[in-house]
Amino acid sequence: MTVPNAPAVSARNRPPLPRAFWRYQPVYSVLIALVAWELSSRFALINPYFFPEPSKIAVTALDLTLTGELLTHSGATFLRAIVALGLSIAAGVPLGILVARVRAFRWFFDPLISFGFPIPKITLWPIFVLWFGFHDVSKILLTAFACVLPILSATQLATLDVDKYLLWSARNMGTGEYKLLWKVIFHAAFPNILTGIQTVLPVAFIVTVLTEMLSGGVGLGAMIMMAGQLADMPTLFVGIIVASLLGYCTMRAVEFLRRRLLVWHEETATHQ
Amino acid sequence: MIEKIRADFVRNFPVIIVALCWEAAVRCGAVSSDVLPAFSTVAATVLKLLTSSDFLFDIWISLYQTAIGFMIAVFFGIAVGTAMARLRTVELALSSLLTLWYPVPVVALFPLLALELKLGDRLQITMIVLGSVLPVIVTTFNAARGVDHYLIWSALNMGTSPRRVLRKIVIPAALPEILSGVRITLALSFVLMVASQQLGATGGLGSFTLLAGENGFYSGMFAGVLVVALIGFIADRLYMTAIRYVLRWQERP
Repeated sequence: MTVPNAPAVSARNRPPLPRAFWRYQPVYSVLIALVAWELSSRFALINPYFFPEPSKIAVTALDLTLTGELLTHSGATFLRAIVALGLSIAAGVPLGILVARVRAFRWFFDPLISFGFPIPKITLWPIFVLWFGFHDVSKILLTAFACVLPILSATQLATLDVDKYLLWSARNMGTGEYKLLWKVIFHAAFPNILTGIQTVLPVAFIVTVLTEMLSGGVGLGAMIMMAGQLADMPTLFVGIIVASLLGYCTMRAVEFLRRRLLVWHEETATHQ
Repeated sequence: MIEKIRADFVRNFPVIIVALCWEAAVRCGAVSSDVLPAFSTVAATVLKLLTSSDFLFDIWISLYQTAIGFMIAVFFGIAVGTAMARLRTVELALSSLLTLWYPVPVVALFPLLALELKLGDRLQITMIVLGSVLPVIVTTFNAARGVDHYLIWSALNMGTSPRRVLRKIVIPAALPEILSGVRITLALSFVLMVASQQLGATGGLGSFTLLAGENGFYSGMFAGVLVVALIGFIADRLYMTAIRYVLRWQERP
């Protein structure tokens, strides 16, 4: 379980039990929670209508998978989130480097960024619907818009953070400005840029699900909203769980990718 | 004073440029005013709406829902985070459940909560709390864990009671880090306020902008968005000022 900043049990203070027992400690909490849920729902300690048993939810998940419905919905959500993320990276990273390196860009964009940052981007949803319609374009663009500012400012900070001795040495040894930008600045800033992208990943999924909930159609958000309107609780829970899993798996995949991309970086060496 | 205003003006000049370009693009017909009302029209609509009691009531609803949700999330989050950092049992019980909760998109819980709680303030406030409490817990946990052990040991050694250590040492020492993490929570609680009101509410700015868009009252829709943006911006600035006051004892580089 290596969620960023997530608390973990420190080795020093573990209660005295075999090491192998504590390796699976997270699994136990989850199992206990699931069993408690199943039993309290079975014996109607909690309303079994609002909180159906996990076994019932699992059966519904299987049904929805077999009809292919679940795959269609989650595929649509995944694609939208990833395309939006790609767009915001394509726009945010170059712009962030420019804002950090070119004075005119910094003058122009700094106040706009500091004004735009605290604005809840999803407020713009009705405007995006007016401009781009109800379908994929408005959802993807709103998600990209919500992600672009954090990526931009993470890139800006990462670029400003690049060790100036690196730059001076490269310049001194006759590196041209363009080569300097790619070979030195981008590579040195890359780990922190990647961290910025990782923190923005959940935002991409949340905004995509939200726009789907607001507009209906295909997608996990739409499936969840429809299930809520029909009071079809098992499907609702399947939707919530699959949406969470989708976000979680993508985060883990990016962590894996990070280790691959940063093989040359010292952070990878210390981890292994 | 005049120097400061001038400096602010020069620094924020790009915002004015963007507003002027927006106005000019609509005025000279590059963009149809059906799709994008001129900036002056939107500004005039904001002023007109601010005199209508319905709109002021929407602002009031949004403000108090955000404020209550934000405060519950902050107090509860700091309490749970500190408890996890100081008490082994609490940490063992909660850490993996929090890891599970971390990737859940809270907006997806809306239909479930709506069936349970019905429409109304409680629904919005619950959404805000659920969505913004986790970052507070995690930052508080990390901050309280990071408190210098020698401070705690010295205090305990000199006979301070554990409860007093918590109040006098752990929380003040962790406070700067907690408060800078809470800034994200403030932004998050605005996002969740707007999102939950768009998904279904009896009032508030989120449902106002959505309804204005659906009814073709586009200048009202843009005005609503502008008001939300301004409130979010002002809240952020106020929060930063408040932090600076609360942490005035801190050494500054």
